[in-house]
Amino acid sequence: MNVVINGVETIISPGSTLAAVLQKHELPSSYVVELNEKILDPEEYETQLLKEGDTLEIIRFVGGG
Amino acid sequence: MLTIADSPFRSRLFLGTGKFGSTALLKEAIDASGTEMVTVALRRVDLRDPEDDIMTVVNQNTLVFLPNTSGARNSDEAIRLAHLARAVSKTNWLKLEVTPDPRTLLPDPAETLIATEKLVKEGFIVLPYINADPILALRLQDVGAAAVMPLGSPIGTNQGILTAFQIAIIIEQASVPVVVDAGIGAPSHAAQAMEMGADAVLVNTAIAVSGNPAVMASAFAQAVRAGRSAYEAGLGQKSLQTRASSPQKGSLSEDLSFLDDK
Amino acid sequence: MTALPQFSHLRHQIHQYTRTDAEQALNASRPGIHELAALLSPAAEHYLGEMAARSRQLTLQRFGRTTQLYAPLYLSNYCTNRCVYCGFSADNTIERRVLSLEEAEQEAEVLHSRGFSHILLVAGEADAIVGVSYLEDIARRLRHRFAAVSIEVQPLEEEQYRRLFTAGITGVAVYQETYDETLYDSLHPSGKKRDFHYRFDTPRRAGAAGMREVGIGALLGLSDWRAEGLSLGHHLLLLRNQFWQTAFTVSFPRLRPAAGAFSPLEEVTEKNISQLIFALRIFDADVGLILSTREEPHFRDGMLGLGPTRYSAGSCTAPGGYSNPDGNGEQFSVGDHRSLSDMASVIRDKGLDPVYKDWDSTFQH
Repeated sequence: MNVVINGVETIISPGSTLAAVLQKHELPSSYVVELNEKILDPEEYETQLLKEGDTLEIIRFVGGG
Repeated sequence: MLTIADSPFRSRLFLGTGKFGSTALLKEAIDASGTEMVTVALRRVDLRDPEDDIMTVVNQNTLVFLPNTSGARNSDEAIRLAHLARAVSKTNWLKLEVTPDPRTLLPDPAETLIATEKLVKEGFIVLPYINADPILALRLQDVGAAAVMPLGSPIGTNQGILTAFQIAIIIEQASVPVVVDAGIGAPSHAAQAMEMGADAVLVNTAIAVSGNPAVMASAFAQAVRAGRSAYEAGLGQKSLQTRASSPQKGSLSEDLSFLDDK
Repeated sequence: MTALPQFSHLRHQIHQYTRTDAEQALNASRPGIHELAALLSPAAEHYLGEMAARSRQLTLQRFGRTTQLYAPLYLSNYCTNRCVYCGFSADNTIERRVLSLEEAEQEAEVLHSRGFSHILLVAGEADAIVGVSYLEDIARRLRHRFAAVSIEVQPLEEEQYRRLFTAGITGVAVYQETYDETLYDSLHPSGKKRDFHYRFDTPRRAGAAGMREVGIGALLGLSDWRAEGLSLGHHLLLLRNQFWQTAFTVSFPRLRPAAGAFSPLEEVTEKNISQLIFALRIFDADVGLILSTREEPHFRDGMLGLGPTRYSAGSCTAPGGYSNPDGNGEQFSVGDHRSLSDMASVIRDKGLDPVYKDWDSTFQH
């Protein structure tokens, strides 16, 4: 099924948890995840199931003024 | 000792972490500056291309993180970024930047005021970035801003304190710390801001793009200390007339013979 | 709890300054409370002429070549206090009078016809005689004939000031009389005025209620005038910090002969008041400085342009005195009896523009 991760359409297996999807990527040491514009608690990653059309934003700190 | 939102800062130089050539250069600059607070921005993780992670050179054990809401064009976007920032940093510090015009990156006063009021109510420690507007500064204080950050000149222009006249008014009227931010292109600009009575300055571009960021950072730190010392010692009044340094009666004096001695 | 330094400390502090301190204060680019203290010191008297020059320059820059004019309108001389220095003291046997609404309007009409656009409603402190409802009624009747109507009456609660603001009162003046708390207690033996802290807090309540202008002052001649001046500076800082949208004024009532035959406890000369005025102007470029008709013509004329920004004129300090000039029951003897038009001429002769109003009540929300 299709979900959008950081603006990119991505195909993932149906019934995937958020944690499973995140594990597939190399992620920085600290970041936050927004699912359909709602910020998720890291504790929810294991139990949060994704569905068709979900939008994920994975945000972290970078240099800035 | 500078205090913002009950947190003490020994250094009155805050550092922006953008535009550095590498995280290594950033680290050297941070160390050389003696800063205790750095700004950071929020961006999407680039999943295809792992890049330098600044979190490897900055950590919240030694530095206060001041996430900014750069990119926000209105209060709603800024508030969303604020929530994201808090989720990552796990602190309430926030530099509120609402900049709808990408050419000038000048801050939107109306949206900044709206966002500040809402975010303060949600428990954020809000440091709003503003044009040097004294009335806006007072309004922001009224709604609970922890400090105000008036610009010296637009971001990245390195023009110095073009807004000196208004900043002087802000400093005089402020009941919260005043941090001059943006446009500080040289240590002399930073010294000028501190001599005027600013509580701190935030510098980014001038250090990041210099030929030797660490040395430049150290120069800025010295300038900030010099300016602050001069302010605390009390500067003399500018005069268009020559005034001898030894005490003597001045030449400008009124005739007060009308005064009765009763 | 007053947020003011102790009077005796201020008095002590002021006397430590040298001529060099005073000169540095005179030349400071951003004078603060420390500079005010130095300029109030005996040592600073040496630089009085220079202080006057700086005061003139600052006043000119901020206020232009203008002097505002106003008249007091005494509504009542009933008073429940027994202030030992005041003609209205309950202990004094004077003809007591309170104006009816019609009489007050009549008095106001006299002032209006003479050209005044800013009036100050004054009353002795007696809630039962001059209460908030009475003041509201008067305000509503007068607001459309005058650009600004201020009051100098008993200290009121914030909610009461709000009511008066809605009714059309734009300014509140209340003087601490003396910031010397020890002396204050002995001078105010009875009545609500006994409470030093409540009175001190009054300008704050008026500011919080949204008054456009708040006036403070000390009665010169009660305690050490230099320390009163420094206290005024502190009070002004506190108020400005809390109410950036409010305009502030300082008045300089100086003890003059009154019905109770009270002599000033401390001598305060014209030279002293001028030093106080110049020092405050240098300390605060924006504060309004008011000289009333307690002072004599030669002094008032000489001070024009040097610091003061507002003068009363053609004043009568007894209720109903404008309609019936021979009434008794004055609060104090007037020093300058000149009419508004005479005063205006004098002001013009000095190259200043007499201003009758700088606001219109119809703009007030």
